Amino acid sequence: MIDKEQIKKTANLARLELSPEEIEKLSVQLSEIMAYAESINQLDLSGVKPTAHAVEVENVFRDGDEPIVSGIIGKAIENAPEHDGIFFRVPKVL
Amino acid sequence: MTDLSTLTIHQAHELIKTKKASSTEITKAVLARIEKVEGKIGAFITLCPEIALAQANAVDDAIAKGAAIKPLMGIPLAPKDIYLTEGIKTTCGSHILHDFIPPYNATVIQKCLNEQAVIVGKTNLDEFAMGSSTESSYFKKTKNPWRLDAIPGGSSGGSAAAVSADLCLASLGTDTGGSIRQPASHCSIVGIKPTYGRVSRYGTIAFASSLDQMGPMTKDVEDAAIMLNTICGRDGKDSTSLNVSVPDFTKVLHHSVKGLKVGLPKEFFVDGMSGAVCKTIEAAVKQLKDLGCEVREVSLPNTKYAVATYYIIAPAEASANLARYDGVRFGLREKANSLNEMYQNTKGKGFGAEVKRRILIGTYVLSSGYYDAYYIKAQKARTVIRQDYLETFKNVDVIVGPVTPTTAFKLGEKTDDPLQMYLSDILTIPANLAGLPAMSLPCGFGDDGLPIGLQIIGRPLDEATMIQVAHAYEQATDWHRKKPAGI
Repeated sequence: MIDKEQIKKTANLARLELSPEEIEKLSVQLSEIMAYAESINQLDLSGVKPTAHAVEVENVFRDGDEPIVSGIIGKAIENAPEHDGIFFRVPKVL
Repeated sequence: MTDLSTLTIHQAHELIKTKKASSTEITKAVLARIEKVEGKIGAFITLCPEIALAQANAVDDAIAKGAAIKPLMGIPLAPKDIYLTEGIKTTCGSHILHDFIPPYNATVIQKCLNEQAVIVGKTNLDEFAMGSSTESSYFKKTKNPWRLDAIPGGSSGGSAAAVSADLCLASLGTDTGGSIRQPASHCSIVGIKPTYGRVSRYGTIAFASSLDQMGPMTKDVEDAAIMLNTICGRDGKDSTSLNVSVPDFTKVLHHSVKGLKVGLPKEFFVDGMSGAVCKTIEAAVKQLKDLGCEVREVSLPNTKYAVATYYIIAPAEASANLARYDGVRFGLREKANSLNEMYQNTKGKGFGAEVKRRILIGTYVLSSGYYDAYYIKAQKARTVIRQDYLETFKNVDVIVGPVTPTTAFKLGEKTDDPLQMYLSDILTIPANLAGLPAMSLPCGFGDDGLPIGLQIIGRPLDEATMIQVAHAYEQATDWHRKKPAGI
Protein backbone atom coordinates (compact mmCIF):
# COMPACT_ATOMS: atom_id res chain seq x y z
CA MET A 1 0.00 0.00 0.00
CA ILE A 2 1.49 3.32 -1.07
CA ASP A 3 0.15 5.85 1.39
CA LYS A 4 -0.16 9.61 1.03
CA GLU A 5 3.12 10.22 2.87
CA GLN A 6 4.92 8.01 0.36
CA ILE A 7 3.30 9.89 -2.52
CA LYS A 8 4.35 13.24 -1.03
CA LYS A 9 7.93 12.04 -0.52
CA THR A 10 8.13 10.64 -4.05
CA ALA A 11 6.60 13.78 -5.54
CA ASN A 12 9.17 15.83 -3.70
CA LEU A 13 11.99 13.74 -5.19
CA ALA A 14 10.51 14.49 -8.62
CA ARG A 15 10.07 18.19 -7.76
CA LEU A 16 6.41 17.76 -8.61
CA GLU A 17 3.70 19.79 -6.86
CA LEU A 18 0.48 17.84 -6.23
CA SER A 19 -2.86 18.99 -4.87
CA PRO A 20 -4.43 17.11 -1.91
CA GLU A 21 -6.99 15.56 -4.30
CA GLU A 22 -4.20 14.39 -6.61
CA ILE A 23 -2.28 12.89 -3.68
CA GLU A 24 -5.41 11.02 -2.58
CA LYS A 25 -6.14 9.66 -6.06
CA LEU A 26 -2.53 8.79 -6.83
CA SER A 27 -2.14 6.89 -3.58
CA VAL A 28 -4.99 4.59 -4.64
CA GLN A 29 -3.84 4.29 -8.24
CA LEU A 30 -0.17 3.72 -7.50
CA SER A 31 -1.02 1.10 -4.89
CA GLU A 32 -3.05 -0.79 -7.51
CA ILE A 33 -0.40 -0.45 -10.19
CA MET A 34 2.50 -1.45 -7.96
CA ALA A 35 0.51 -4.42 -6.60
CA TYR A 36 0.15 -5.56 -10.22
CA ALA A 37 3.83 -4.88 -10.90
CA GLU A 38 4.69 -7.23 -8.02
CA SER A 39 3.63 -10.12 -10.28
CA ILE A 40 7.16 -10.22 -11.66
CA ASN A 41 8.15 -11.70 -8.30
CA GLN A 42 6.60 -14.94 -9.52
CA LEU A 43 9.47 -15.29 -11.96
CA ASP A 44 12.55 -17.23 -11.02
CA LEU A 45 15.21 -14.70 -11.88
CA SER A 46 18.14 -16.29 -10.11
CA GLY A 47 21.24 -16.14 -12.27
CA VAL A 48 19.61 -13.86 -14.83
CA LYS A 49 21.52 -10.77 -15.93
CA PRO A 50 19.55 -7.53 -16.16
CA THR A 51 19.00 -6.12 -19.66
CA ALA A 52 19.32 -2.37 -19.80
CA HIS A 53 19.32 -2.36 -23.58
CA ALA A 54 17.61 -4.88 -25.83
CA VAL A 55 20.40 -4.63 -28.35
CA GLU A 56 24.07 -4.90 -27.38
CA VAL A 57 25.38 -1.37 -27.01
CA GLU A 58 29.03 -0.58 -26.68
CA ASN A 59 30.68 2.61 -25.62
CA VAL A 60 30.97 4.87 -28.61
CA PHE A 61 33.55 7.51 -29.24
CA ARG A 62 33.00 10.49 -31.45
CA ASP A 63 34.56 10.20 -34.91
CA GLY A 64 37.46 12.63 -35.04
CA ASP A 65 36.15 14.88 -32.25
CA GLU A 66 36.57 18.02 -34.34
CA PRO A 67 34.63 20.98 -32.99
CA ILE A 68 31.78 22.01 -35.30
CA VAL A 69 29.54 25.04 -35.27
CA SER A 70 26.12 24.02 -33.99
CA GLY A 71 24.52 27.08 -35.50
CA ILE A 72 21.80 27.25 -32.89
CA ILE A 73 23.27 29.21 -29.97
CA GLY A 74 21.29 32.34 -30.73
CA LYS A 75 18.13 30.36 -31.43
CA ALA A 76 18.50 28.06 -28.42
CA ILE A 77 18.04 30.87 -25.92
CA GLU A 78 14.89 32.19 -27.63
CA ASN A 79 12.64 29.61 -26.02
CA ALA A 80 13.71 30.58 -22.51
CA PRO A 81 10.98 32.14 -20.36
CA GLU A 82 13.55 34.66 -19.10
CA HIS A 83 17.02 35.33 -20.42
CA ASP A 84 19.46 38.15 -20.87
CA GLY A 85 20.69 37.18 -24.29
CA ILE A 86 23.44 34.90 -23.03
CA PHE A 87 22.26 33.37 -19.75
CA PHE A 88 18.99 31.83 -18.62
CA ARG A 89 17.51 33.78 -15.71
CA VAL A 90 15.86 31.97 -12.81
CA PRO A 91 14.67 32.88 -9.28
CA LYS A 92 17.42 33.15 -6.69
CA VAL A 93 19.02 29.84 -5.85
CA LEU A 94 20.39 30.82 -2.48
CA MET B 1 -10.65 12.76 -61.52
CA THR B 2 -9.01 11.05 -58.52
CA ASP B 3 -8.94 13.08 -55.35
CA LEU B 4 -5.17 13.38 -55.06
CA SER B 5 -5.37 13.23 -51.25
CA THR B 6 -6.33 9.54 -51.50
CA LEU B 7 -3.00 8.61 -53.13
CA THR B 8 -0.30 6.51 -51.55
CA ILE B 9 3.34 7.67 -51.61
CA HIS B 10 4.22 5.32 -54.46
CA GLN B 11 1.19 6.34 -56.52
CA ALA B 12 1.94 10.05 -56.02
CA HIS B 13 5.59 9.46 -56.87
CA GLU B 14 4.56 7.83 -60.15
CA LEU B 15 2.31 10.77 -61.06
CA ILE B 16 5.02 13.29 -60.16
CA LYS B 17 7.66 11.38 -62.15
CA THR B 18 5.41 11.17 -65.22
CA LYS B 19 4.37 14.82 -64.80
CA LYS B 20 0.69 13.87 -64.43
CA ALA B 21 0.48 15.73 -61.12
CA SER B 22 2.63 18.27 -59.34
CA SER B 23 3.55 18.40 -55.69
CA THR B 24 1.60 21.65 -55.42
CA GLU B 25 -1.55 19.96 -56.80
CA ILE B 26 -1.19 17.02 -54.42
CA THR B 27 -0.45 19.26 -51.44
CA LYS B 28 -3.42 21.51 -52.27
CA ALA B 29 -5.68 18.44 -52.46
CA VAL B 30 -4.49 17.29 -49.03
CA LEU B 31 -4.96 20.78 -47.56
CA ALA B 32 -8.47 20.95 -49.05
CA ARG B 33 -9.33 17.60 -47.52
CA ILE B 34 -8.00 18.79 -44.16
CA GLU B 35 -10.22 21.84 -44.39
CA LYS B 36 -13.23 19.65 -45.13
CA VAL B 37 -12.65 16.86 -42.62
CA GLU B 38 -10.27 17.87 -39.82
CA GLY B 39 -13.05 19.53 -37.83
CA LYS B 40 -14.69 16.12 -37.36
CA ILE B 41 -11.49 14.21 -36.53
CA GLY B 42 -9.13 16.54 -34.65
CA ALA B 43 -5.99 14.76 -35.90
CA PHE B 44 -3.73 17.82 -35.88
CA ILE B 45 -2.28 20.04 -33.17
CA THR B 46 -0.61 22.36 -35.69
CA LEU B 47 -1.28 22.96 -39.37
CA CYS B 48 1.28 24.76 -41.52
CA PRO B 49 -0.29 25.23 -44.96
CA GLU B 50 1.94 28.17 -45.99
CA ILE B 51 5.11 26.24 -45.21
CA ALA B 52 3.71 23.19 -47.02
CA LEU B 53 2.84 25.14 -50.17
CA ALA B 54 6.24 26.85 -50.18
CA GLN B 55 7.92 23.45 -49.91
CA ALA B 56 5.71 22.02 -52.68
CA ASN B 57 6.49 24.99 -54.90
CA ALA B 58 10.20 24.50 -54.36
CA VAL B 59 9.82 20.83 -55.33
CA ASP B 60 7.98 21.68 -58.57
CA ASP B 61 10.64 24.29 -59.42
CA ALA B 62 13.44 21.80 -58.81
CA ILE B 63 11.73 19.16 -60.96
CA ALA B 64 11.19 21.69 -63.77
CA LYS B 65 14.94 22.35 -63.65
CA GLY B 66 15.60 18.61 -64.05
CA ALA B 67 16.28 17.49 -60.47
CA ALA B 68 16.25 13.73 -59.82
CA ILE B 69 12.98 12.74 -58.16
CA LYS B 70 13.63 10.86 -54.90
CA PRO B 71 10.80 8.69 -53.50
CA LEU B 72 9.55 11.19 -50.88
CA MET B 73 10.02 14.29 -53.04
CA GLY B 74 6.95 16.47 -52.94
CA ILE B 75 4.99 14.05 -50.74
CA PRO B 76 2.79 15.69 -48.02
CA LEU B 77 3.59 14.16 -44.63
CA ALA B 78 2.20 14.86 -41.16
CA PRO B 79 4.68 13.82 -38.44
CA LYS B 80 3.61 13.15 -34.86
CA ASP B 81 4.08 16.24 -32.71
CA ILE B 82 6.93 14.52 -30.86
CA TYR B 83 9.43 15.14 -33.66
CA LEU B 84 11.30 18.42 -33.40
CA THR B 85 10.61 20.45 -36.54
CA GLU B 86 12.70 23.59 -36.87
CA GLY B 87 10.54 26.68 -36.83
CA ILE B 88 7.30 24.69 -36.43
CA LYS B 89 5.74 24.53 -32.97
CA THR B 90 6.34 21.18 -31.27
CA THR B 91 4.30 20.45 -28.15
CA CYS B 92 4.47 16.71 -27.49
CA GLY B 93 0.77 17.05 -26.63
CA SER B 94 1.67 18.89 -23.44
CA HIS B 95 0.83 22.23 -21.82
CA ILE B 96 4.44 22.39 -20.65
CA LEU B 97 5.60 22.78 -24.29
CA HIS B 98 2.54 24.60 -25.62
CA ASP B 99 4.56 27.34 -27.32
CA PHE B 100 7.89 25.62 -27.91
CA ILE B 101 9.50 26.31 -31.29
CA PRO B 102 12.44 23.96 -31.88
CA PRO B 103 15.73 25.45 -33.15
CA TYR B 104 16.59 22.28 -35.06
CA ASN B 105 15.08 19.29 -36.86
CA ALA B 106 15.00 15.74 -35.59
CA THR B 107 17.31 13.55 -37.68
CA VAL B 108 14.31 11.65 -39.05
CA ILE B 109 12.63 14.90 -40.11
CA GLN B 110 15.87 16.18 -41.64
CA LYS B 111 16.19 12.98 -43.67
CA CYS B 112 12.66 13.48 -45.04
CA LEU B 113 13.38 17.15 -45.75
CA ASN B 114 16.63 16.19 -47.50
CA GLU B 115 14.39 14.30 -49.95
CA GLN B 116 12.18 17.40 -50.13
CA ALA B 117 9.13 15.88 -48.50
CA VAL B 118 6.38 18.37 -47.63
CA ILE B 119 5.15 18.90 -44.05
CA VAL B 120 1.47 19.85 -43.75
CA GLY B 121 1.25 19.81 -39.96
CA LYS B 122 1.98 18.02 -36.67
CA THR B 123 -0.36 15.36 -35.40
CA ASN B 124 -2.00 14.86 -32.02
CA LEU B 125 -0.69 12.38 -29.46
CA ASP B 126 -1.06 11.31 -25.86
CA GLU B 127 0.93 13.73 -23.71
CA PHE B 128 4.64 12.80 -23.93
CA ALA B 129 3.57 9.67 -25.80
CA MET B 130 2.17 8.17 -22.60
CA GLY B 131 -1.11 6.49 -23.38
CA SER B 132 -3.06 4.18 -25.65
CA SER B 133 -5.93 6.43 -26.74
CA THR B 134 -4.61 9.95 -27.47
CA GLU B 135 -7.08 11.12 -24.79
CA SER B 136 -4.36 12.50 -22.53
CA SER B 137 -3.33 15.18 -25.04
CA TYR B 138 -3.55 18.63 -23.47
CA PHE B 139 -5.00 20.05 -26.67
CA LYS B 140 -7.81 17.83 -27.90
CA LYS B 141 -9.10 14.31 -28.28
CA THR B 142 -8.75 12.76 -31.71
CA LYS B 143 -11.64 10.70 -33.09
CA ASN B 144 -11.37 7.42 -34.93
CA PRO B 145 -12.37 8.12 -38.58
CA TRP B 146 -14.12 4.72 -38.73
CA ARG B 147 -16.43 5.59 -35.81
CA LEU B 148 -16.33 9.09 -34.41
CA ASP B 149 -17.23 7.97 -30.87
CA ALA B 150 -14.22 5.64 -30.69
CA ILE B 151 -10.58 6.31 -29.85
CA PRO B 152 -8.07 6.24 -32.69
CA GLY B 153 -5.63 4.43 -30.40
CA GLY B 154 -2.47 5.95 -28.99
CA SER B 155 -0.12 7.41 -28.46
CA SER B 156 0.22 8.07 -32.24
CA GLY B 157 -3.56 8.46 -32.60
CA GLY B 158 -3.44 11.72 -34.53
CA SER B 159 -1.05 10.19 -37.07
CA ALA B 160 -3.20 7.08 -37.51
CA ALA B 161 -6.39 9.11 -37.92
CA ALA B 162 -4.73 11.50 -40.38
CA VAL B 163 -3.39 8.71 -42.62
CA SER B 164 -6.67 6.78 -42.43
CA ALA B 165 -8.74 9.86 -43.35
CA ASP B 166 -6.38 10.97 -46.16
CA LEU B 167 -5.33 14.11 -44.28
CA CYS B 168 -1.74 13.39 -45.36
CA LEU B 169 -0.17 10.77 -47.61
CA ALA B 170 1.78 9.29 -44.71
CA SER B 171 2.96 10.01 -41.20
CA LEU B 172 5.76 9.22 -38.80
CA GLY B 173 4.90 7.92 -35.35
CA THR B 174 6.84 6.61 -32.37
CA ASP B 175 6.45 3.29 -30.55
CA THR B 176 7.57 2.66 -26.97
CA GLY B 177 5.01 0.05 -25.88
CA GLY B 178 2.87 -0.18 -29.02
CA SER B 179 2.18 3.42 -29.93
CA ILE B 180 2.59 2.94 -33.69
CA ARG B 181 1.12 -0.55 -34.01
CA GLN B 182 -1.97 -0.16 -31.82
CA PRO B 183 -3.35 3.02 -33.46
CA ALA B 184 -2.46 1.55 -36.88
CA SER B 185 -4.56 -1.48 -35.95
CA HIS B 186 -7.44 0.66 -34.66
CA CYS B 187 -7.47 2.85 -37.80
CA SER B 188 -6.80 0.25 -40.49
CA ILE B 189 -3.42 1.47 -41.66
CA VAL B 190 0.12 0.09 -41.72
CA GLY B 191 2.56 0.93 -38.94
CA ILE B 192 6.11 -0.34 -38.44
CA LYS B 193 8.26 -0.23 -35.31
CA PRO B 194 11.78 -1.04 -36.54
CA THR B 195 14.44 -2.93 -34.55
CA TYR B 196 15.65 -0.78 -31.68
CA GLY B 197 18.56 1.24 -33.01
CA ARG B 198 17.59 1.15 -36.71
CA VAL B 199 16.32 4.72 -36.63
CA SER B 200 17.94 7.69 -34.92
CA ARG B 201 16.14 9.04 -31.88
CA TYR B 202 17.96 12.37 -32.09
CA GLY B 203 15.56 15.29 -31.96
CA THR B 204 12.61 13.11 -31.01
CA ILE B 205 11.28 13.98 -27.58
CA ALA B 206 12.32 11.10 -25.34
CA PHE B 207 9.92 9.03 -23.27
CA ALA B 208 11.79 5.79 -22.46
CA SER B 209 15.19 5.75 -24.09
CA SER B 210 15.74 1.99 -24.20
CA LEU B 211 12.29 1.39 -25.71
CA ASP B 212 11.47 4.35 -28.01
CA GLN B 213 11.64 3.76 -31.75
CA MET B 214 10.59 5.93 -34.65
CA GLY B 215 8.64 4.46 -37.56
CA PRO B 216 6.37 5.01 -40.57
CA MET B 217 2.56 5.02 -40.50
CA THR B 218 1.23 4.61 -44.02
CA LYS B 219 -1.67 3.56 -46.25
CA ASP B 220 0.05 0.39 -47.46
CA VAL B 221 3.09 -1.82 -46.96
CA GLU B 222 5.01 -0.48 -49.98
CA ASP B 223 4.79 3.06 -48.58
CA ALA B 224 6.10 1.87 -45.21
CA ALA B 225 9.06 0.17 -46.90
CA ILE B 226 9.80 3.35 -48.86
CA MET B 227 9.76 5.48 -45.70
CA LEU B 228 11.91 2.99 -43.80
CA ASN B 229 14.54 3.26 -46.53
CA THR B 230 14.68 7.01 -45.91
CA ILE B 231 14.68 7.08 -42.12
CA CYS B 232 16.91 4.15 -41.15
CA GLY B 233 20.64 4.48 -40.60
CA ARG B 234 23.35 5.16 -38.08
CA ASP B 235 23.38 8.70 -36.75
CA GLY B 236 26.46 10.08 -35.02
CA LYS B 237 24.12 12.15 -32.86
CA ASP B 238 22.36 9.07 -31.45
CA SER B 239 24.92 6.70 -30.01
CA THR B 240 22.26 4.01 -29.55
CA SER B 241 21.67 3.93 -33.30
CA LEU B 242 23.21 0.81 -34.77
CA ASN B 243 26.17 0.76 -37.08
CA VAL B 244 24.59 -1.67 -39.54
CA SER B 245 23.86 -1.30 -43.22
CA VAL B 246 20.31 -0.54 -44.31
CA PRO B 247 18.96 -2.90 -46.97
CA ASP B 248 16.51 -1.65 -49.60
CA PHE B 249 13.29 -2.77 -47.93
CA THR B 250 11.33 -2.42 -51.18
CA LYS B 251 13.33 -5.30 -52.69
CA VAL B 252 11.23 -7.93 -50.84
CA LEU B 253 7.90 -6.65 -52.14
CA HIS B 254 6.05 -9.10 -54.39
CA HIS B 255 8.23 -12.00 -53.23
CA SER B 256 6.60 -15.35 -52.57
CA VAL B 257 6.35 -16.42 -48.93
CA LYS B 258 6.15 -20.12 -49.75
CA GLY B 259 7.97 -22.15 -47.15
CA LEU B 260 8.43 -19.31 -44.65
CA LYS B 261 7.81 -20.50 -41.10
CA VAL B 262 5.27 -18.52 -39.11
CA GLY B 263 4.88 -18.87 -35.35
CA LEU B 264 1.54 -18.28 -33.65
CA PRO B 265 2.05 -17.85 -29.90
CA LYS B 266 -0.65 -19.46 -27.80
CA GLU B 267 -0.10 -16.84 -25.08
CA PHE B 268 -1.22 -14.12 -27.48
CA PHE B 269 -4.83 -15.28 -27.29
CA VAL B 270 -5.43 -13.69 -23.92
CA ASP B 271 -8.43 -13.74 -21.57
CA GLY B 272 -10.75 -10.95 -22.48
CA MET B 273 -9.86 -11.07 -26.16
CA SER B 274 -12.93 -10.36 -28.26
CA GLY B 275 -14.41 -13.11 -30.42
CA ALA B 276 -14.18 -10.82 -33.44
CA VAL B 277 -10.42 -10.32 -32.98
CA CYS B 278 -9.86 -14.08 -32.53
CA LYS B 279 -11.87 -14.96 -35.62
CA THR B 280 -10.26 -12.27 -37.75
CA ILE B 281 -6.71 -13.23 -36.79
CA GLU B 282 -7.50 -16.91 -37.42
CA ALA B 283 -8.75 -15.98 -40.89
CA ALA B 284 -5.57 -13.96 -41.54
CA VAL B 285 -3.44 -16.92 -40.44
CA LYS B 286 -5.37 -19.18 -42.82
CA GLN B 287 -4.64 -16.70 -45.59
CA LEU B 288 -0.92 -16.99 -44.79
CA LYS B 289 -1.22 -20.78 -45.01
CA ASP B 290 -2.93 -20.41 -48.40
CA LEU B 291 0.04 -18.31 -49.51
CA GLY B 292 2.35 -21.21 -48.67
CA CYS B 293 3.53 -20.30 -45.18
CA GLU B 294 4.09 -23.07 -42.70
CA VAL B 295 2.22 -22.02 -39.56
CA ARG B 296 3.01 -23.61 -36.22
CA GLU B 297 2.00 -22.95 -32.65
CA VAL B 298 4.80 -21.55 -30.50
CA SER B 299 5.05 -20.63 -26.85
CA LEU B 300 6.31 -17.41 -25.30
CA PRO B 301 5.68 -18.33 -21.66
CA ASN B 302 6.88 -15.08 -20.11
CA THR B 303 4.40 -12.92 -22.07
CA LYS B 304 2.26 -12.59 -18.95
CA TYR B 305 5.00 -10.63 -17.18
CA ALA B 306 5.47 -8.13 -20.00
CA VAL B 307 3.03 -5.46 -18.83
CA ALA B 308 4.35 -5.46 -15.27
CA THR B 309 7.93 -5.34 -16.54
CA TYR B 310 7.17 -2.49 -18.93
CA TYR B 311 5.27 -0.42 -16.38
CA ILE B 312 8.33 -0.50 -14.13
CA ILE B 313 11.01 0.17 -16.77
CA ALA B 314 9.22 2.73 -18.96
CA PRO B 315 8.10 5.06 -16.16
CA ALA B 316 11.58 4.79 -14.58
CA GLU B 317 13.19 5.97 -17.80
CA ALA B 318 10.46 8.57 -18.30
CA SER B 319 11.04 10.04 -14.86
CA ALA B 320 14.64 10.71 -15.92
CA ASN B 321 13.75 12.01 -19.39
CA LEU B 322 11.06 14.39 -18.17
CA ALA B 323 13.23 15.94 -15.47
CA ARG B 324 14.39 18.51 -18.02
CA TYR B 325 10.96 20.20 -18.18
CA ASP B 326 11.66 22.49 -15.29
CA GLY B 327 10.91 25.96 -16.65
CA VAL B 328 14.57 26.97 -16.89
CA ARG B 329 15.55 26.82 -20.55
CA PHE B 330 12.31 26.33 -22.49
CA GLY B 331 8.61 25.63 -22.09
CA LEU B 332 6.21 26.69 -19.41
CA ARG B 333 7.51 28.56 -16.36
CA GLU B 334 5.19 29.19 -13.43
CA LYS B 335 5.73 32.10 -11.07
CA ALA B 336 7.64 31.26 -7.91
CA ASN B 337 9.71 32.82 -5.15
CA SER B 338 12.46 30.26 -5.23
CA LEU B 339 14.06 27.93 -7.74
CA ASN B 340 12.62 24.84 -6.07
CA GLU B 341 9.16 26.35 -6.02
CA MET B 342 9.53 27.19 -9.72
CA TYR B 343 10.28 23.51 -10.49
CA GLN B 344 7.36 22.29 -8.36
CA ASN B 345 4.80 24.74 -9.71
CA THR B 346 5.89 24.38 -13.34
CA LYS B 347 5.67 20.60 -13.25
CA GLY B 348 2.49 20.69 -11.19
CA LYS B 349 0.74 22.98 -13.66
CA GLY B 350 2.48 21.80 -16.82
CA PHE B 351 2.02 18.03 -16.71
CA GLY B 352 -1.26 16.13 -17.08
CA ALA B 353 -2.51 13.32 -14.86
CA GLU B 354 -1.08 10.39 -16.83
CA VAL B 355 2.36 11.97 -17.05
CA LYS B 356 2.35 12.72 -13.31
CA ARG B 357 1.31 9.15 -12.58
CA ARG B 358 4.19 7.73 -14.62
CA ILE B 359 6.77 10.15 -13.25
CA LEU B 360 5.74 9.09 -9.74
CA ILE B 361 5.87 5.38 -10.54
CA GLY B 362 9.28 5.86 -12.13
CA THR B 363 10.67 7.94 -9.28
CA TYR B 364 9.31 5.42 -6.77
CA VAL B 365 10.85 2.35 -8.41
CA LEU B 366 14.22 4.06 -8.74
CA SER B 367 14.28 5.43 -5.20
CA SER B 368 16.54 3.92 -2.59
CA GLY B 369 15.06 0.87 -0.97
CA TYR B 370 13.02 -0.02 -4.05
CA TYR B 371 15.59 -0.01 -6.87
CA ASP B 372 16.55 -3.69 -6.50
CA ALA B 373 13.04 -4.86 -5.69
CA TYR B 374 11.52 -3.34 -8.81
CA TYR B 375 13.84 -1.84 -11.38
CA ILE B 376 16.65 -4.39 -11.39
CA LYS B 377 14.13 -7.22 -11.20
CA ALA B 378 12.23 -5.78 -14.15
CA GLN B 379 15.43 -5.59 -16.17
CA LYS B 380 16.03 -9.26 -15.42
CA ALA B 381 12.45 -10.08 -16.42
CA ARG B 382 13.20 -8.21 -19.65
CA THR B 383 16.12 -10.57 -20.33
CA VAL B 384 13.88 -13.58 -19.84
CA ILE B 385 11.14 -12.17 -22.09
CA ARG B 386 13.69 -11.41 -24.84
CA GLN B 387 15.13 -14.92 -24.56
CA ASP B 388 11.67 -16.43 -25.22
CA TYR B 389 11.67 -14.65 -28.59
CA LEU B 390 15.27 -15.42 -29.54
CA GLU B 391 14.65 -19.12 -28.74
CA THR B 392 11.47 -19.13 -30.83
CA PHE B 393 13.19 -17.46 -33.77
CA LYS B 394 15.51 -20.48 -34.02
CA ASN B 395 12.49 -22.33 -35.40
CA VAL B 396 10.34 -19.71 -37.14
CA ASP B 397 11.01 -16.76 -39.43
CA VAL B 398 8.27 -14.45 -38.13
CA ILE B 399 5.75 -14.46 -35.29
CA VAL B 400 2.18 -13.32 -35.95
CA GLY B 401 -0.84 -12.55 -33.83
CA PRO B 402 -3.27 -9.85 -32.82
CA VAL B 403 -2.20 -6.30 -31.95
CA THR B 404 -4.81 -5.61 -29.28
CA PRO B 405 -7.34 -7.80 -27.43
CA THR B 406 -10.32 -5.76 -28.69
CA THR B 407 -11.24 -3.17 -31.30
CA ALA B 408 -11.03 0.52 -30.36
CA PHE B 409 -12.96 1.31 -27.20
CA LYS B 410 -15.20 4.36 -26.85
CA LEU B 411 -13.78 7.77 -26.01
CA GLY B 412 -13.90 8.20 -22.23
CA GLU B 413 -14.45 4.50 -21.56
CA LYS B 414 -11.12 3.74 -19.84
CA THR B 415 -9.88 7.11 -18.62
CA ASP B 416 -10.80 6.38 -14.98
CA ASP B 417 -9.03 3.06 -14.82
CA PRO B 418 -5.33 3.43 -15.70
CA LEU B 419 -4.48 -0.19 -14.95
CA GLN B 420 -7.18 -1.42 -17.38
CA MET B 421 -5.67 0.80 -20.06
CA TYR B 422 -2.17 -0.55 -19.34
CA LEU B 423 -3.32 -4.17 -19.58
CA SER B 424 -4.51 -3.65 -23.17
CA ASP B 425 -0.87 -3.17 -24.21
CA ILE B 426 0.00 -6.81 -23.44
CA LEU B 427 0.48 -7.82 -27.08
CA THR B 428 2.59 -4.91 -28.25
CA ILE B 429 4.90 -4.37 -25.26
CA PRO B 430 7.03 -7.52 -25.68
CA ALA B 431 8.52 -6.37 -29.01
CA ASN B 432 9.70 -3.14 -27.36
CA LEU B 433 11.19 -4.96 -24.38
CA ALA B 434 12.99 -7.35 -26.71
CA GLY B 435 14.02 -4.65 -29.21
CA LEU B 436 12.46 -6.58 -32.11
CA PRO B 437 10.99 -5.16 -35.32
CA ALA B 438 7.19 -5.41 -35.32
CA MET B 439 4.36 -4.08 -37.42
CA SER B 440 0.60 -3.95 -37.81
CA LEU B 441 -1.37 -4.10 -41.03
CA PRO B 442 -5.14 -4.19 -41.69
CA CYS B 443 -6.74 -7.64 -41.66
CA GLY B 444 -10.44 -7.10 -41.16
CA PHE B 445 -13.18 -5.48 -39.11
CA GLY B 446 -15.20 -6.29 -36.03
CA ASP B 447 -19.00 -6.44 -35.98
CA ASP B 448 -18.84 -2.89 -34.63
CA GLY B 449 -17.32 -1.72 -37.93
CA LEU B 450 -13.98 -1.03 -36.25
CA PRO B 451 -10.69 -2.19 -37.79
CA ILE B 452 -8.55 -5.10 -36.65
CA GLY B 453 -4.82 -5.31 -37.36
CA LEU B 454 -2.49 -8.28 -37.81
CA GLN B 455 0.80 -8.03 -35.94
CA ILE B 456 3.98 -9.45 -37.44
CA ILE B 457 7.17 -9.60 -35.35
CA GLY B 458 10.54 -10.25 -36.92
CA ARG B 459 14.03 -11.31 -35.90
CA PRO B 460 16.35 -8.52 -34.79
CA LEU B 461 17.29 -6.46 -37.89
CA ASP B 462 15.08 -8.63 -40.10
CA GLU B 463 12.46 -6.04 -41.08
CA ALA B 464 12.80 -7.42 -44.61
CA THR B 465 11.19 -10.82 -43.90
CA MET B 466 8.50 -9.14 -41.82
CA ILE B 467 7.72 -6.77 -44.71
CA GLN B 468 7.81 -9.63 -47.19
CA VAL B 469 5.11 -11.54 -45.28
CA ALA B 470 3.06 -8.37 -44.72
CA HIS B 471 3.12 -7.44 -48.40
CA ALA B 472 2.17 -10.91 -49.55
CA TYR B 473 -0.80 -10.90 -47.17
CA GLU B 474 -1.81 -7.39 -48.18
CA GLN B 475 -1.71 -8.11 -51.91
CA ALA B 476 -3.86 -11.23 -51.43
CA THR B 477 -6.57 -9.19 -49.67
CA ASP B 478 -8.10 -5.76 -50.13
CA TRP B 479 -8.37 -4.43 -46.58
CA HIS B 480 -5.85 -1.73 -47.48
CA ARG B 481 -8.20 -0.31 -50.11
CA LYS B 482 -11.06 0.27 -47.70
CA LYS B 483 -11.71 3.85 -46.55
CA PRO B 484 -13.83 5.11 -43.64
CA ALA B 485 -17.29 6.12 -44.83
CA GLY B 486 -19.06 9.40 -44.28
CA ILE B 487 -16.09 11.73 -43.78
